[in-house]
Amino acid sequence: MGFKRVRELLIAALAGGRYQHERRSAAAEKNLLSCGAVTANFVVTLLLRCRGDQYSASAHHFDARVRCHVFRPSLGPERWYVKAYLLGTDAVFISVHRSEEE
Amino acid sequence: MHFWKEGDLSQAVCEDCRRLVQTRFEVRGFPLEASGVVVPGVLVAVCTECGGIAALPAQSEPRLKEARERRKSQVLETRVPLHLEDMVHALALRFDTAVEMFRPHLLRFYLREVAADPALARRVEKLARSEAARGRARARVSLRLPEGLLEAARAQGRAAGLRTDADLVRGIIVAAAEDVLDGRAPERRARLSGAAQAEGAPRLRTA
Repeated sequence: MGFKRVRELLIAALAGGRYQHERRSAAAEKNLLSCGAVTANFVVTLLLRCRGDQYSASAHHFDARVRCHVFRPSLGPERWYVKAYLLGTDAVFISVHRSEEE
Repeated sequence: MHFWKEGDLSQAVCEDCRRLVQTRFEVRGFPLEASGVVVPGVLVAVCTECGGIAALPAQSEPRLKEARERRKSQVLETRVPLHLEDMVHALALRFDTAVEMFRPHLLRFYLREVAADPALARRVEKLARSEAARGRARARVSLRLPEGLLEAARAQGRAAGLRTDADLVRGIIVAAAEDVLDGRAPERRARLSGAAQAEGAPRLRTA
């Protein structure tokens, strides 16, 4: 599955409320969507601003069967970091925050 | 918009089991990391293997956000003359609603109006100095406000010459009495009626 299809599925999950947040430490800093600091619409904007060369995919650090999708779009002067994986058409967000390399 | 139900099944990577597991949605207390406060009654995705919370569904975000922001709310404490408290009772009666429920809505409504309207802030300042607002401050007013609202109203009030929270509240109550009881501001009265109606008051009589 390529960049555009992944992005399309994530946007559909965000629009339809079919997403979850992985439980993680420092969620208030690392997943701004989970704590309501940014909205699902804002994350959709970030995904739409992302170019193909700002996208990458890698195995989940706990389970290599799970493919994680990383988006590093720029919005104004800020770079953002969005990391999620898909379960069919549902999404699970791991990170949504201003950029710093993870 | 999708809403998961208690008992629905899903999957997530469990931080404790360190792998993809099946999850079941259950209602649990959810601990807020920064404060340690446990928010009761939150739908979470529980790992069916270890029983820990593996994920949080989107629909639980607003409940947690509300709990976080409630902790950030501010309290306005002051005292006003008894006849101003009588004005609040008369206003509540005008909207056919219980004064205890109506009072915080009335004050928050007007604080928001003052914060957004320099002309109203100037009027409130004038009314706070008027004969109608004077008297021994006997009745206690205690009000919980969202973070930012009190500061915004105070800032607008200061720009208009209001020096204290007591003056702000006194001026607001007299302004509300003029607007609603004397019919000075029908448009504002209608919006305030909407707020009162949301608290169970009947629709405002037009007579």
